[in-house]
Amino acid sequence: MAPVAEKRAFPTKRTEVTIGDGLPLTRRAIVTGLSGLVAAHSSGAWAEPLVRPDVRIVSLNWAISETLYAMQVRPIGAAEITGYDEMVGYPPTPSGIVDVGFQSDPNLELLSSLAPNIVLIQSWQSGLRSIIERFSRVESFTLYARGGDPFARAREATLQIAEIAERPSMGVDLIDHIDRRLERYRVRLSAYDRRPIYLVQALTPTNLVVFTTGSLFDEVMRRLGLANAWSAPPDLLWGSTHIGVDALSTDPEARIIWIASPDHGASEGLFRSALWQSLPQVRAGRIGHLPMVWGFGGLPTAERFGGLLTSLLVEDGGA
Amino acid sequence: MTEALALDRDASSGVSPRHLAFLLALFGGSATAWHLHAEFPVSVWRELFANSGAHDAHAAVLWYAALPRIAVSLIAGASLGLAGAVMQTVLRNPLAEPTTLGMSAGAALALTAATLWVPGLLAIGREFIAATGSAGAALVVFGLSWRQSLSPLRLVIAGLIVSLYCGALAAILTLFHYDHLQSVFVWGTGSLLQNDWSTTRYLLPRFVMALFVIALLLRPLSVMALEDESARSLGLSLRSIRLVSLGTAIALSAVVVSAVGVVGFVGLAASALAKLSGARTSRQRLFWAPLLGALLLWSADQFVELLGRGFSEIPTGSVTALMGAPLMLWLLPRLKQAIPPSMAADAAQRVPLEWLVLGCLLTLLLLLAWPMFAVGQSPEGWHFTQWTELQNVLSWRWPRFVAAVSAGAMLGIAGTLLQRLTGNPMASPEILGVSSGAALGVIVIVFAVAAPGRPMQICAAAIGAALTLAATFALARKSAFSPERMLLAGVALGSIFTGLVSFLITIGDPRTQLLLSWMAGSTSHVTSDDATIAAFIALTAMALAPLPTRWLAILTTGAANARAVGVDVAKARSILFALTAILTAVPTLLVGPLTFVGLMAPHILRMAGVQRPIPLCLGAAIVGALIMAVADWLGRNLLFPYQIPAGLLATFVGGPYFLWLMRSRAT
Repeated sequence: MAPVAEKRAFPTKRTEVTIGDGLPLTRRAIVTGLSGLVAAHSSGAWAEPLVRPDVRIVSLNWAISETLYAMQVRPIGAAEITGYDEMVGYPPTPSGIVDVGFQSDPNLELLSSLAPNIVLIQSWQSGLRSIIERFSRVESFTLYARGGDPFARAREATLQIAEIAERPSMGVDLIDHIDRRLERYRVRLSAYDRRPIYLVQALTPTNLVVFTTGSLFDEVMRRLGLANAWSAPPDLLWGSTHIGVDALSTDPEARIIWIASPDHGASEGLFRSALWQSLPQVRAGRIGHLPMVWGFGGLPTAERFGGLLTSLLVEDGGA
Repeated sequence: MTEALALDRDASSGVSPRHLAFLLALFGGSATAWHLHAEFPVSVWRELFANSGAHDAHAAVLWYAALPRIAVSLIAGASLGLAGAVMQTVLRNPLAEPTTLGMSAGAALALTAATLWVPGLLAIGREFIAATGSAGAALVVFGLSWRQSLSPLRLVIAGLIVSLYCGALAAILTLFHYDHLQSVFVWGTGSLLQNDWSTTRYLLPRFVMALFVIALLLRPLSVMALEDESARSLGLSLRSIRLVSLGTAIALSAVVVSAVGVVGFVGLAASALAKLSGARTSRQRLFWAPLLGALLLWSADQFVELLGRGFSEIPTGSVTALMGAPLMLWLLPRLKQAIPPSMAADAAQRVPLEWLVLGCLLTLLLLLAWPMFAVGQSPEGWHFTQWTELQNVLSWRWPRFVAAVSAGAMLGIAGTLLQRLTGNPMASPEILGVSSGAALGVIVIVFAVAAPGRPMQICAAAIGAALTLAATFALARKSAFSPERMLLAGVALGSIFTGLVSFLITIGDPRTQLLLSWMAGSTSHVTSDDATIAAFIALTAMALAPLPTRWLAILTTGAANARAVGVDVAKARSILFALTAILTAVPTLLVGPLTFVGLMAPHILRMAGVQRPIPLCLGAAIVGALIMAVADWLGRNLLFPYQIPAGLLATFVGGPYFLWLMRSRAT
């Protein structure tokens, strides 16, 4: 683990803070807003109002939306707002943003009527690019791809998005903030017993996915100095593998953490099944579970996951 | 009804069900032995037998995962075999089984809806939800074919349509919850993974109960396989015996769906294999089908286990679906059909008002075009766009409108051509698998070439459609294009396609995301170039329609007659093939392979009294255009700003009328 070396790879420290256009915004305001990141999922208190930049931005992607909201930038439109608030919700969608329809199939007529300057997408949506370019600039980001480090990509994307929103300092501040948070979690985790961790989520009452390299969660764990007990490369898209419960018995000394599924508990019978109960890790009580965290987010989701995991491990998994 | 199929009596190969069962058991047994031996050394077995209470981890995997999985595969297979055999006996229909009669799809839809909306119900009872869905689908299917005394062909077609409906509904549900897609999917493709003995404990008593009921009814059931008259003369209450045995089969298949998901074709395969290997009487078949079903699913599952070792889980249901298709194709030449198709009679009656009907339809399309352009939802609510502001929205609305209308028109013509060409009233690009073929062509080109352009996509789709058509015709030629054979071939090809798409989703290739949205039939990305090309092809096809329809009129009277009036049969047929392929490929690219407009449009016309080839062809084009136009408009506005793909909605727009038509039309 080399978080220090990691840091060198990215331009995180920019001491000069530039706040453009004479808007009533101070660095203090941003930081206050950002610190809401941690409090948000418990209290729901987000610092409003957000800044509406001069550029008219529309986000067609949840990972980009959460990044914008965390940087206190308010886009004019965003895709699938109801779904976002249910599945991601961190930070929640600010008021006054137009819902432009599905991420993969937005309402183009509505989108064009908003007269955006820039539409933000992820590269898996690039099929939309040519048609949107008829009325707006399109910027595409790759957070998730086969292989690679989504956390590092999310950092780069954050800087680029801030640049596009004409608030470069906010990107730097967000990264700064996330880094400091993760560093704090890493220090807190020195109390943890260092057992490798299986991170799983139930698909059905008998099927699981395990998060592997190439997932955001794996990268966050690596940065927190935690080892993933699943070492094989992913079989599924964006860093996961479809498995049965028996596959978890390979490393009996590991700890198992399960993340709640978005199916309102329909698949949770899995965690009461006899095979699950007979897993050596479960018998030894080396299990824990996290509330639902969206698996394909950006930096805010990464930070939220790190915070939740740290509290879980330090509270009941300590040495 | 005389459309019943009978299997060739001569079992010339000399195989008996006993041999077949032995072979399957040998295969399943050795696969199991290999797999168990590799995973669990002797010490684990010793541990398992030594203390049956607290096991060590490895023994627990053996006891709670590996062994229950074998038990579940055997019981589920036996249940599906039994359900299939009962359905086939009662309905005298060799194609009947839970998947072909729409019951699996009904159960799957009910469970998907429950998962999304009332997950609390799942905890109370998955089986009741599944049984409700499955019984609902069964009611619709039987209701649709009741007037035709449950004729085999009608039943299977009704089953297909109900499956399609349920599939389309489930697709709309997952559009809004696509984070659940993978879990719905894993479950919908039938995974036999087990974590304890609860599924075994759930399935076994239910299977035994069903077995008991069927055993009680064995005598009447074997009489029922004979003609109704002889059964009635024995003093049997046909209706109540049918009802009880069918009800049992439906309940049993719902139980299987709720326990392990949709595992297709096992019931069909088990019954067909029993018959083919010489189980002649229904009593023999009711005995062998469950046994063969159990062995089949067990072997298939152990094969999947060997295949998937060290990789991710492959749902067993997606593998049985893939294996089922070749089996059905292999079955085709062995099915003997009783009565030749009846279609040529249609041309005899003439309705003088044909052109008037056409005129009315065209006027309707033109009248609707304006409000469909102008009326729509905006963030402020419903809005009628004034002439002056129309400029702003026109560039968005015309390409998708024109593309939808052209696609509908092309499908209407393709459907008419196919129905005439095959003399089969149920033929259509969707049902004969031609659309699936076109879609397969697109998938191949998308995966083979980095970024295929439109012309290349059209070529690939057309080649796929043409190859499928040729294959279907080759398979059906011997039987003079009997409806049953063509349908079977189409279903088989369609299931290969579905199996392939399932597999792609399971391996999670990023390109499947695009494929899914295209398959659903979204018109919102259509460019003005696409629309122009589509309109051009549609108009050309309509202008040229008189030419092939004249051939068709001649061809349907028989090849000899056609030669007598100087038509080169081979040439005419290949030109018609090519035309149908193109008229299927282009709409498939625009609105996806799932519309059913090609099936509905000609029927709606015929219902309106239009019979002669040329007005029928042109009219079907107009009706197809109407259906797609309405579907596109509804898709744009119904859940604004979210857009429902027009292809998906087309089934709902034209479907009710078609279902009503099917119910009321007595052939």
